[in-house]
Amino acid sequence: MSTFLSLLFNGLAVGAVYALIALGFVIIFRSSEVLNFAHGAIVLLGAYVVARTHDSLGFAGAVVLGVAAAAAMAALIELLLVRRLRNAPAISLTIMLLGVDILITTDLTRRMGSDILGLGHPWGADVVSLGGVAISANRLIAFLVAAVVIAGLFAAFRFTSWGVAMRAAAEDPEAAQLMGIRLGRVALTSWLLAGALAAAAGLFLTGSPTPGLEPGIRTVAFAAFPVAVLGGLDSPGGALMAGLLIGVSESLAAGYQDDLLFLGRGIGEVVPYIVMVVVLLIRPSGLAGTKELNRV
Amino acid sequence: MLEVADLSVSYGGAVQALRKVSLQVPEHGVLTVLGSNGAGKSTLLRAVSGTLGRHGGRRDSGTITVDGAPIHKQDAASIVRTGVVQVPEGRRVFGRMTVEDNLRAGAAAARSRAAVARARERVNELFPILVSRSRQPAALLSGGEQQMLAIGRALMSDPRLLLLDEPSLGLAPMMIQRVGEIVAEIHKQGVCVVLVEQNATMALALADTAVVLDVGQVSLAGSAAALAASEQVQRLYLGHGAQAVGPEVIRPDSTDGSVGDDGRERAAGTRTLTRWQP
Repeated sequence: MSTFLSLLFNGLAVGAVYALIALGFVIIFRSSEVLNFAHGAIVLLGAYVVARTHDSLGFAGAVVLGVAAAAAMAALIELLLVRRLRNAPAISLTIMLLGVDILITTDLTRRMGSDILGLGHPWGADVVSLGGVAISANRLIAFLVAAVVIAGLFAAFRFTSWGVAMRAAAEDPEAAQLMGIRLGRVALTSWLLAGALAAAAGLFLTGSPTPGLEPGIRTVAFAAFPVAVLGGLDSPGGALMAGLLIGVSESLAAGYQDDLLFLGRGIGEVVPYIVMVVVLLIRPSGLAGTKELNRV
Repeated sequence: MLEVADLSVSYGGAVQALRKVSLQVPEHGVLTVLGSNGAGKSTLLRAVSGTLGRHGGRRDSGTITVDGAPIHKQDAASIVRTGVVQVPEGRRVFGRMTVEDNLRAGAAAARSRAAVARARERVNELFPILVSRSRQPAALLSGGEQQMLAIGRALMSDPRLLLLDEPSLGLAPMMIQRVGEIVAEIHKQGVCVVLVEQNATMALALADTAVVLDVGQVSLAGSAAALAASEQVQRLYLGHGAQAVGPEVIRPDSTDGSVGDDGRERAAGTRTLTRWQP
């Protein structure tokens, strides 16, 4: 039972981090109608900046800088590339963003070499006991921070003028323009925010129990991609649900993999994709997506 | 207030949708723009509100000014900030958002919180139904209620000039009359109006001046009363030789190959209207 609870907590924590990344996908998709395939690279960039600067700036300072760098990179991608190609077919934009992802990742991989970098998390590899169940402090903090950030984000969607403008622009860009909503500004803030969320996710993905930052983190960040698709791509609520669902499934599959040996080792890594395929077969527009969506 | 001078617009660089169109909306005026399907009415509104680019259109020549200041090079959101706001054809309310949030979206270009509060008060007075429906998703409103919401949403930015694109489209006669009353009331409160309509009865009753667009050109212009009395308008838009008629307006035969925004040529049959002499 305690194994199950431990796996469940871990799954929820990782799922909440996936949700942070997936929310970035969703926010960008809603404002720019494009899938940001460069998101994994932005996660990596945020974590890399923290890893390189925490010695000189301290952890808090490094986190601020990492979040700012990731947000700035996302904003630059929007301003310099996506905005200029906004009338291009969605497929061209998607391929371009894949290219950007490869460029940024290759450069960061070169800079990292074969090192595994620590991010200087003050909580290190501490383990806390929660009702008799052991969970890494990093995962617990990740869950709490993600919960606060996501709650804040949902409140912002609902109550702020930015949230109203963003929802209006996502639903009918022309009508939104006719109301005086500046679509460019909505898109730019969305990319900034998505970049910041990606950095926050990177911060926790590289903490205990993982050894630290290495280029493979980008692959982990990619698990958030099926999360976004599963949630319905244009639904923040869907992204949250799907994040938790996939985090828990992945954690349980990895934890009980000895009982699932007939499926082969490493089933945990493919579980996000299995869950995505199964759910999409039943609900083609995802858990909470809009049925009319037709752009990739 | 609004002055359009020698405006020519084309789509895709080839199809001419407007040819040297000139018109004015005087301060406190209501201008009605009549025309059959594809005459260029919506193109005219797109040009004024800065959304031509979204439809593949381009202003080739001509100017659009508001109180003497050119707006034709500004983007749509900036034009709203000059006080020119369009209620798009087909209402285009944000269906997944609540009525309340639709109105908040309409206030995106408002100058201050106090201005939003004043605009909200006016909208609540004009459309009490929106108050009682404020928490419902806009998609669940009836067609007439959605039209009220679309107008109310546009009023939230406190416009000086309201552009209405076929507000009577798809509405029951009673509702058309109600929309007419509301437009009259909004005008009484000091807002200039450009009313693009196929329902000529309602539109001419509301307007001071009117123009008829035909194949992208102004074919008739003058006071609304003069146009309502003109033989051509009566024949094409009010029914043969009719006095005022009900909401069922006889429209020009659309099988004559009328020019659309896609610009196919049409036979000269309905182009016999007297040329406008400025």
